Amino acid sequence: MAQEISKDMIRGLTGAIVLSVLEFEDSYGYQISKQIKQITDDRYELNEATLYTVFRRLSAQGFVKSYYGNDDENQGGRRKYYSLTESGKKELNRSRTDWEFSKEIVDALLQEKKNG
Amino acid sequence: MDDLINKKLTRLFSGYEKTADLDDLHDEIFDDVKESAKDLQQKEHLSDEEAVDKAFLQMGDLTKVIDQIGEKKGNGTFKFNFHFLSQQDSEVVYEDEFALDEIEKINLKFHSDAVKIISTDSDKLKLTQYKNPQTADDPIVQVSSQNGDLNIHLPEKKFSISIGVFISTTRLPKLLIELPNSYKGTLNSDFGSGSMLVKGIKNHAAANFTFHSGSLKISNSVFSESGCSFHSGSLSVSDSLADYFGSDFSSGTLRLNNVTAKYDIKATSGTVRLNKITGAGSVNLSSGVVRADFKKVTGDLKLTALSGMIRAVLPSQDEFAFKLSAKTGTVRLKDVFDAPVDYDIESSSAKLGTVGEAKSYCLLSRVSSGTIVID
Repeated sequence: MAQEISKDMIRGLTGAIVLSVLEFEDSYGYQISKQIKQITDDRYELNEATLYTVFRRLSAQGFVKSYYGNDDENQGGRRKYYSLTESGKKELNRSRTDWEFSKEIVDALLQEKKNG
Repeated sequence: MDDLINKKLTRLFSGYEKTADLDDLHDEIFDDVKESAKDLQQKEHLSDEEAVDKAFLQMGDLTKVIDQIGEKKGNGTFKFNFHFLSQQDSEVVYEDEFALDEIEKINLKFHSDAVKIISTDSDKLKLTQYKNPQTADDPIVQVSSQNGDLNIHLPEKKFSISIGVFISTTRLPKLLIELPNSYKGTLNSDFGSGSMLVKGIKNHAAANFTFHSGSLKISNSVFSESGCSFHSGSLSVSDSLADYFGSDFSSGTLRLNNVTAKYDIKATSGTVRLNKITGAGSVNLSSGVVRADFKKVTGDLKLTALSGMIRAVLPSQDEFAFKLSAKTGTVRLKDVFDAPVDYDIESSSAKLGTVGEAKSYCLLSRVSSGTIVID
């Protein structure tokens, strides 16, 4: 079985992941799920059921907003899109800084010590 | 294919009260399943049925999110996770009664605990503190009274691990307050990340609730003036009445269900969901989503946001004047009203006119960027 990222490890980051995909373009559940698979080369997946919950949390926090836009995939229809708000952009930047910092700390703590 | 998807969705959504939010989720899932099934069909040459089945499977467990947003049918719409253990299970660490003859104000203060207020026929206020199974030697509630104020303070152990709002709503209420139904004074509550449940308080008294990230649920209650101000928490009021309901919050969620009041709701960002509402008033958000479903509109409505989505569902027999505008964005007034719509201005970003001739109220809605939908 291919290597998987631990669910516990990534749980706190799902919001930031969704914000980051939305920074690229306004999107919706199925498309974001697909985009995440593409970005990670099928090594990570967030299914729609999870995304719907994340969307609602992020919009309650004011980080994303939704609107009904023209559906380019299915001509003629309108569907719900999510997009980043200004505070969502700030939150995304904050998450990135946090993550950089966490990475440094965890690296420092978990790296094999040369003179152990 | 549409029928196949709808059939499955109908099954998933059965048992839940039809609300605008749930409808919204329904449509969102429909669109996603359909696109996914079509993709699968192309890639794997599946039949409609196989493609729809597979698309649903790949979405994960949808019941959780439906349950979060939906309100189960039957036994009211109030969902609250307080579980009272039976008397012998929960140990009482403190119990006392207080006469309220001289009391004009009750001031309740706590931090991250759970507190429940219910009504009693007795003329005395009764406090019961239960032992918290997770911590030992909890401090006991402190009660003092002076100049007509009854102060109830539930202290917290220093350095105790702070328990977030999600956990605390499922915990046992640590303090139970039985409030005499004859009490006519003010009820003030101030808490941090805890949770508070107010149930069946029909005293028609004034109430003020201030909290940070906690959650407050009010049900089956009647207040004269009620004010709720909070930071990132959540407030839910159901099956209640207030002469005036004011709320001011920065990034939380406000949910009113089957509530009658004159409203004044302000928020910097967040979600406001009004369902089965009787009344009038204003909702003003900097950014966020407002969903307002009215059972009966009794006066002017003002729904504004800097950025966000506003959707108001009004009774179809209503006749009213409307002024709707979006600086950037779209405004839609759906053709669902019994009376004819008469436009003075009609563009995709501004609509001004009347529905019918009676003009029993005025609906004003404005966003700087975003969407307004009236139906």
